[in-house]
Amino acid sequence: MLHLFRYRFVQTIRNFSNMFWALLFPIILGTLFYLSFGSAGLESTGESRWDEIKVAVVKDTDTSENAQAFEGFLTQMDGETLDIQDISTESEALSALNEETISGIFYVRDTPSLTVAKNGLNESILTSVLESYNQNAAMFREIAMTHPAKLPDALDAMNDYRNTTAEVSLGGKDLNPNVQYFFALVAYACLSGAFLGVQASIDGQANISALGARRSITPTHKLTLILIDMAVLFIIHFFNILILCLYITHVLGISLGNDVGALLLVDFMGSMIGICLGVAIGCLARISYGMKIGVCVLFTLFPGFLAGLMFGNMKNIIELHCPIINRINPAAVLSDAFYCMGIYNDMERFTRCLVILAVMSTLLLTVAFLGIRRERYDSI
Amino acid sequence: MTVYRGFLTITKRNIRMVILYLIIFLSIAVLVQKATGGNMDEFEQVSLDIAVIDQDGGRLAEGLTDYLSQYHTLVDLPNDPAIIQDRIFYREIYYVVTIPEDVEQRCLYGDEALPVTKVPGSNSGFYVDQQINTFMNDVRIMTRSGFPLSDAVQSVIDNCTDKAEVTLIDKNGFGGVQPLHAFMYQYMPYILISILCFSMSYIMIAFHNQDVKRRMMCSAVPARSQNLQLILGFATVGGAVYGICTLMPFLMYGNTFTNDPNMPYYMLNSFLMTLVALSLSFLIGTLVHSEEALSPVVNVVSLGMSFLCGVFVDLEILGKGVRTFAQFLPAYWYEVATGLLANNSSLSSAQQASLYTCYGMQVLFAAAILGVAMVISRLRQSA
Repeated sequence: MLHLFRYRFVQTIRNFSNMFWALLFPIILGTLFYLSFGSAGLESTGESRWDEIKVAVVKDTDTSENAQAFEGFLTQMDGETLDIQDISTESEALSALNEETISGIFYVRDTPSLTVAKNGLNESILTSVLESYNQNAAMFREIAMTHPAKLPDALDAMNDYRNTTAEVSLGGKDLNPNVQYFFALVAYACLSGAFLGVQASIDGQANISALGARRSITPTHKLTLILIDMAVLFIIHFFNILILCLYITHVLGISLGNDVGALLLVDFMGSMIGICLGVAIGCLARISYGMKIGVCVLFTLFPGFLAGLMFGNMKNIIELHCPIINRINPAAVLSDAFYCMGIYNDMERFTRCLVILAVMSTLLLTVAFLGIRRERYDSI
Repeated sequence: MTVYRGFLTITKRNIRMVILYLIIFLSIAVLVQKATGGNMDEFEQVSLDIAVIDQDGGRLAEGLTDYLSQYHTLVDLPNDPAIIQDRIFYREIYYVVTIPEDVEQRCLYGDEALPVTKVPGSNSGFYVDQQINTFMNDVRIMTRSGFPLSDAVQSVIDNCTDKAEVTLIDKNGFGGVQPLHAFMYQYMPYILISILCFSMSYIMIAFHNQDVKRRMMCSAVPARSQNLQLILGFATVGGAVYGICTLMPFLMYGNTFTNDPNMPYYMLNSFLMTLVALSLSFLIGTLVHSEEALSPVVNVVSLGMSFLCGVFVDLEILGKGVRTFAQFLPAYWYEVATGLLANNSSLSSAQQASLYTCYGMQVLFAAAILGVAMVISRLRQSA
């Protein structure tokens, strides 16, 4: 028993390229996520500075008080949110807008207005700049009319603009808005254990590999062989996932929740489902190796996609329209488990996720065993 | 043309696998398109289902509730963490703001912030934050200027109904909104790179079989011709995949796509991306010799490049540093070109110049990657 375990372990570890990639690819992907979303995430929540938005300001001959105030406001915003370009005539501004060298044109008039050329992020910001100006202008007009002596107080209060909301998770912890991508990534990495699993099952089948042929003539019980293969792969995969989690939390500094025990448990179940999936694919389908890898891609990348690996909102959309998919998609269940642990602090749902994973693993394993039991070869 | 024929034979033998990859990635494409209708970023102001838990009940709390109800749909919710959790988990509500007791003293005059909870991973909540900020700050300014609280609240609510005067120039012929086929073209690189790298690299591995290699080396066909025939084989399969991918926008959007004056430019752009994907798959096929390592390598290349180059997330949302770095990747240029085409129905001469720059960059990348692959395979042969 022990020597079977030992040799299987050595054999797997010595396959350097496999090990290297199994460990490294989620780490590389995580780093790339961090690079693109780390900063994007900050920007999209307004926590870091945007690039200033290039705009043109067109002044008519209007010299009303309102127009002057608006011009002053824009000048103040220059260099902060806006980057006012040196364009003075309307035709120049329109052609610049057409060339996309600017995102919008502000018209300094009695009723200030804005012209944009598409519906995008920068355009939304420009619109809200104009809206907030309008609201403030109306407010200050009212103050000037009713309590003119208090205008300095009002200006004081305006300069003391405060952030009045604080995001808390229901468990009371702070949130990184892009943590979902990392949840999906860990879930995908867990499922990727399937590739290891396929390899193992191939090493056990006489009609596919020479090693399988040799192993098939041993009197050792098939279930023992499968279980040992699984145990070895599982341990290796589990450690890979742990290294990935350590990397995400300690090197990239993204919190996956503070409960180490629960995290270990999710990683444990995640590694289990990945390996079981692979063993099942490897045992069940009588198809070429290339096809098996293809089926593996199907059963890992596709669930990953549905759980929000590429488009973060995907899981939300599925939850709204077809929630059952999120209950049976192992990647979604894994990412839900992370949510329950790290964000919702919800042990009941957390347990349910783990139970779903355990049931799935058992089912897959049963399928795998049924697939290759009583397999007999007339001649090897 | 023995090598070419051999290539096609191997492809035929693996055709089921190629079809499998086609199905996987095309269904991802169709699903994204159907599920999101092109609006993946959620940066536009939208009306959300939100809940206000009012523990105060005073005029300020009431005012904030009224104010938010002008923008969003308010959902009644008991103040029970378990129920809130449940509703957020199933996305029945997107945003919950709790107004604590004595909110006036604590949040309006004091420094406390209102606790809010959002659906994780949804950016829409950002706008609700902004709206709450505006309301609270404006009320504070008004009260500091001597207005009684209820007047201040009322006036802020009244002022917010004024709409700003915004004109949209319909430059792209789709009302300033990205047309759906443009969105499909935006993530086409991921589909192309994945399908081609997975299937072509696998076929390449078959060619790297020691015996096959030795047989080919001692044949009378010169190495140059062998390589050219291989490339021809790649072009054949690549052409087929390109054809199938190009069919998608036609099948899904028919007339909208054919009426877009930029249609040929989109098609040329994705054709160049196909070339890049082919040379990438040639490079991966040269470097990777084991089937097991294939999936991780292809994933790193396809997902990594897609994330950095604005395939999944719009380029304008990515940080400046990422964008600068992405210029060293071919998909970046593809995406810049797609952006140009999506936002303009007719291109000015300067825009045309930048479009051609993008095209040129992709050709150069394809050539450079192919060159590197050739050099590596040559070095390996002589080693």
